[in-house]
Amino acid sequence: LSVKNGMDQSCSTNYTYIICCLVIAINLVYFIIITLKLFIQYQRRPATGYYQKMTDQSSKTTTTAPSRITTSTSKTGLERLAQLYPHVTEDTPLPSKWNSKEKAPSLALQQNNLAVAYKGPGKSHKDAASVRSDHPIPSLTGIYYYEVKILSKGRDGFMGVGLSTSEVNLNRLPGWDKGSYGYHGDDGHLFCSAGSGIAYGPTFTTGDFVGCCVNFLENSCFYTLNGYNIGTSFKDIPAEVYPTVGLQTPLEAIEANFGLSPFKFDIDKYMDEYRDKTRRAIVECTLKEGELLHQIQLRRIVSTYLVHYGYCATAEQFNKNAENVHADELNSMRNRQLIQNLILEGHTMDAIEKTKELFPTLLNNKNLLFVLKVRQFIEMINGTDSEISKPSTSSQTKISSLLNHKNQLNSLLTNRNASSTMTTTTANDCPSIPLSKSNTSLRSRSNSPYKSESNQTTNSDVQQHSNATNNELSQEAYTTVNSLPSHHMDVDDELNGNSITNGFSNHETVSSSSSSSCSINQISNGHSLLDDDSNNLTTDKTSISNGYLTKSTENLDTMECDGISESNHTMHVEDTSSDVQKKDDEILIKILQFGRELHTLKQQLNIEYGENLQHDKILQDAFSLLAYPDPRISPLAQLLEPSQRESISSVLNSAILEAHDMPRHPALEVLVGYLNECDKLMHKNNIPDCAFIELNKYVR
Amino acid sequence: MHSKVFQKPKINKNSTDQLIFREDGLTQLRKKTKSENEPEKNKLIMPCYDDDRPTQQEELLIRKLVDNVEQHERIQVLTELKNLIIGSRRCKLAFYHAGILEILNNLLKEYSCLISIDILVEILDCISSFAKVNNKNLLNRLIELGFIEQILSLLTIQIDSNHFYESCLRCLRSFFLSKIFSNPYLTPTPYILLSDDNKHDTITVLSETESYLSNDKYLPVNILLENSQNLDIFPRLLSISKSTQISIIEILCCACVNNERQNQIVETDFIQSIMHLLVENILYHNKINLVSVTNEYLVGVCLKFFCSICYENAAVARQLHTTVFTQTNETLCEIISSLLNKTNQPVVISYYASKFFINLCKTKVLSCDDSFVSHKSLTTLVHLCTKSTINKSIHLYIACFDTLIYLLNGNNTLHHTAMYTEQFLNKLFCYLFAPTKIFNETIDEAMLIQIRTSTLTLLAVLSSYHEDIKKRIADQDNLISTAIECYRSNHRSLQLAALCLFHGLSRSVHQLRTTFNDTICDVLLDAVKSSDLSLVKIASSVISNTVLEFSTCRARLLSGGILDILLAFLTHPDHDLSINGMWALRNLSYLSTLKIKQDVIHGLTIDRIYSLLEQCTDERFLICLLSLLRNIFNEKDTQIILPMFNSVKLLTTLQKMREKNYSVEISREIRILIDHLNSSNAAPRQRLPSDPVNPSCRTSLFPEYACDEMDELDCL
Repeated sequence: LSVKNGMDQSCSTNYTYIICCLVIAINLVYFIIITLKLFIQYQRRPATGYYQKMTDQSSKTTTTAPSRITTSTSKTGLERLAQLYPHVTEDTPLPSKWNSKEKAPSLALQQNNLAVAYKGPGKSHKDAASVRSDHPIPSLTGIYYYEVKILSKGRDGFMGVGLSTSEVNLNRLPGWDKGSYGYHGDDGHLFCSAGSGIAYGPTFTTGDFVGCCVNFLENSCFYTLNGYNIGTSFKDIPAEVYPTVGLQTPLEAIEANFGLSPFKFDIDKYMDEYRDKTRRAIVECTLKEGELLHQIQLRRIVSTYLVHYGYCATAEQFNKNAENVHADELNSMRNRQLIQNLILEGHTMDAIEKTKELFPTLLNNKNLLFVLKVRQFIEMINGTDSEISKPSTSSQTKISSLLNHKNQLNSLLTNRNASSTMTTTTANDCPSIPLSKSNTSLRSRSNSPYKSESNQTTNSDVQQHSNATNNELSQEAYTTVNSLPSHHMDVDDELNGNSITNGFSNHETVSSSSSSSCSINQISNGHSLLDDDSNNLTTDKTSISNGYLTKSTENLDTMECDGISESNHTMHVEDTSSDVQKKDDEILIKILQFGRELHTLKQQLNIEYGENLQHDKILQDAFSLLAYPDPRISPLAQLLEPSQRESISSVLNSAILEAHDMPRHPALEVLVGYLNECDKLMHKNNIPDCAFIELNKYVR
Repeated sequence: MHSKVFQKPKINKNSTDQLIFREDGLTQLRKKTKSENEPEKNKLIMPCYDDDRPTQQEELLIRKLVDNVEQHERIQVLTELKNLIIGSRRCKLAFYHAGILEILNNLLKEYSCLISIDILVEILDCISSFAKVNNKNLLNRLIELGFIEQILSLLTIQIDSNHFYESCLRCLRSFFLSKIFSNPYLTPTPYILLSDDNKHDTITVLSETESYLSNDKYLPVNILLENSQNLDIFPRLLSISKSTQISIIEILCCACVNNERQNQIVETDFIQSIMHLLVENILYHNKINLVSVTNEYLVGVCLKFFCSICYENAAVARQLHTTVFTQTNETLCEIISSLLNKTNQPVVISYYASKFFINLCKTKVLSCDDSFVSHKSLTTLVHLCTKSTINKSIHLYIACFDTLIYLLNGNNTLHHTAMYTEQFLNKLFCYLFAPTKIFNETIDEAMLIQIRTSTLTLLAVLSSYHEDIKKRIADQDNLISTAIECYRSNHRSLQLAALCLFHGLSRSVHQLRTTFNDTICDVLLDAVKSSDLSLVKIASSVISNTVLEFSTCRARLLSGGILDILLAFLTHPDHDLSINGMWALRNLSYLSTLKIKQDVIHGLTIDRIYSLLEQCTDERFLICLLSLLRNIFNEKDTQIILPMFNSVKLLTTLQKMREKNYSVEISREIRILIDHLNSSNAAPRQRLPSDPVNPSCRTSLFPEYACDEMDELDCL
């Protein structure tokens, strides 16, 4: 209980933090819608260029892969590129140099194909010559930038810097033809697929740095001169363009910088701005009422997320604020939380019993039961399971097999435990249900003087009767005991009336009517050990309630409350009959017996569902722990780690949720998954907008 | 209802400006409801409803305040009073007329002795609210009563109450931020953070603020700084809380009204402590990604302080430039420039960071091609007023334009950069032609005029130097017609800006031949006859260029009687205007016909020329006169005109002047003239390189229009 309280407390202290997370979560949902919108928007664009590009790119990647080797000029340069364009992969290489094949003959390439010099006659505009880069600009860059240094303006300085598609004639300056764009140095004019330019920027000459930036987000382009952004030049540029320069008069020479050395222009700042813009677009996105997702649905998504992971206090608070209470879910959440806690603390058996009590049909799934039991086995070896206590403590806690003694609050139940254990133990003698021993005998071992006998009998029983009914019966035998933890939970749940758990336990007792009736008869025998009057009273009551099955549990419940004062007494009684050496042996025998049971269960599973190698493996691993003198330092020691419990607990959690028609994963998680997929899809389709979306920043 | 809303006025922290703004807003609101409801309601009681009379309830309140001696009850009454006056201009005035200020003053004195914090805080809050009212008499009364001195003395008390100090400082700040005392350039808009600290402009727009500046003893700044010990109070208070930090720094910003005051503040060594505050808040900001509004506000205020302290103060600017933050070994410049690179910060921080470098540049501490200025500040400002979507505030745009005007005026090497950066010129045209399209929300008419004025002035600055930029601007469709339309509007600032643009363009021979048409002539003639001195001044500057021989306007201006007007300027009491007049005459006579030269001489009269030559002490004027004479005696006309003078007398007068200890330029001018006269007796072979329009020499365009002409002379 204290653990649970602690958790609730920590929930409330972390409340503000979690609310922050929630706000992010809500944003996230908006974000999904935005990305979807972007995606849809992009799909609606003129399809021709887009699909053509898709096909081109796929064909290109195969041919241009080897040429990338030459780009590794400097590590820092590549690092810079990687930092600038984090989303660009090997499939869509960046332009790295001028393409020696895609150039006019009158141009000469130098310096690793980065410098271009004009060698032609340069008499008229017919002598113009252009060169394109080796790769088109990948649109996944989002924003792409390259810079050109004018090494020499030559005779007239008729130089053009810009972009062109692969079809453009290379004997022309960029900007003169369709699909080509250029900024010319002689007049500072802009040529946008046209013969005549428009006034744009200053002229440029020797020593100047001209930069060209393509913004795929806005599908626009701007130039820089000596580090100054001189403003938007073109809009609606085609999807696949190459960096291009054109020269026209002798001695003109330029050198390109495709990002391997630092730029004059502060492109990072520009990109940051767009990153920020994208972020703001996402964060500040608001939906009109009724658009795609209703507000209530959003709230529900968030609250189910909380319910799923058992943030009780937060969920309650959230629901209170959202005026949207799902009491039933909260209850179920509490129960699940309890079970999960039991598993995480190593009390696997308690967890199993609890599960059986609260979710009776769940463990009909034998596979799940098997997994749980294997864990229980491991915990037994570990000494953490309540079935078996560590040798040091065992002398004091022989009888209190069900519940851990460390937990003070649980001690109130020991009394009750004892009595119920008795009932089952004595059931051994009852011939009508011999199979119930398989489970109960384990517990009875510690306190009953004739344990060895019964042990043997149970062993033989288990081997003999390995069938489904065995399990069912044993399960039912458990359930009589199970009313205990259910009460334990009632005490815990201060916030909630928890009628459900009561309902469950009642239900259980009804189902286990036959076995309980049998055992109760025996109780009186077993209880000769206990001097306590009230205990006798309770047994009386139970025996009385024999006829009225549902009533009996209620009586039991009331008795538990009484039990608080009695716990010490019972303990004392137990202490007197303790013997350490004997105890250790008992434990080992108990473990062995449980192991046999487990093996039987596995065989049974094999018969029912066929061979399951995974099950074989985990069982083998678990069994092999016994072979080591000290399992804690064995190669399989990791099985004993508490962290191993987490997977089991989440498996059980999911199973419970599934059984109750609740989703295995909370909707929010599913949405995040969708989001990731959407992002991937956008990347795959080269949608530039995703270049500045960093999902991790939103999904924390 | 109102009192409920303002039960606990949080004037502290970051909401100050909003509050000021809100108060204004509420004032308007109150006025409206009053005009609708109150007159009817009060008609029965008071047939002649008077705004300034307190209602019965309010009078009762005052009586309660006076009569109640119980401190606890007084606090209640004061709270009630506070809730009434905050946001209500009418209430403030009504209480003022009922003599509340004197009562408060007495109370303040009484409780200052007792040091009872609770009631003092209430009183201070009330005074703070009164100080925010936009009424000169009320404010003067507040200061007459010595509230500022009292607050200063309260601040020296050592009490362990942050709340008390915060209240004191807030109240003090209210005085300093008051629109009445600050010059109009300091708080041009309700958007106070962006206010300009142009103490320089207090001089140029003296005519407007004269009335306030003349009664020096009412200026809070003077009260604060007349005793230098007052400043020593602040350093201790800086450590108390963010609220006190903000208040103190804002007070200091407002105190930077001239170089003397700036130096006084620097001497108290605020620079180091405020730099620490700045770094502290930036770092905090960096470490934790959650943006704290208070921190940002504080960073903005610190930057504003650094801007104000070095504005037009070279000594302080140099000191700031060399200031190093010892812990990280970074210079202040580096720290501030790091703020320029952030995209996700409030625009105000970017703005003030840019402005800091621009102030350093204007004091010549940084050269204008320093990357801090040219690459960072300039581009940031251009970006802020073109692309900024973070805060599409028209106030910000105007402030950026004005800062750019300040930077670019005189730094012509940056003109091309500014013009081409992000197609700024095109954006400027948009702002000028259709500002309503850009600011799609309905904006205030006054704001609209302001932004158009700023844009037009910026265009004028850009057009003042480079021929290619002039051409580009003049060729813009509709620009000239828009400028003319702006002139014809009734807003003086727009008219001035339009004339400034004409002035910039008139400095190009090419533009004089092409752009200037008859309509502009009419505008100029109209402006020069205007009764507004500043309009006349700048119009005369334009005219002095447009009367040149090759100007298309010349004939029309002459027929419009420009000569008489110019001659009249010579005797104008305004010195700048008389110089402009002389300069215009000089230009008019350059390469002109004999007729015009004769007209000029007749207009001036030969006696007056002699007397001016002998007696004039103003060098600028003298240079103008000498170059006028040189132009008159140019070429063949000399032989006709010289007889009008007594040539011997003229030469002896000039010789005498030569012997006097004039500056190099004047001596040179005299020598040239003498040589010319001597040689012209023989044959007019020598033709002096008299360059009437020399665009390459002008360094400054506004606001000193007259000096501007001087600069031109320098290059002759």
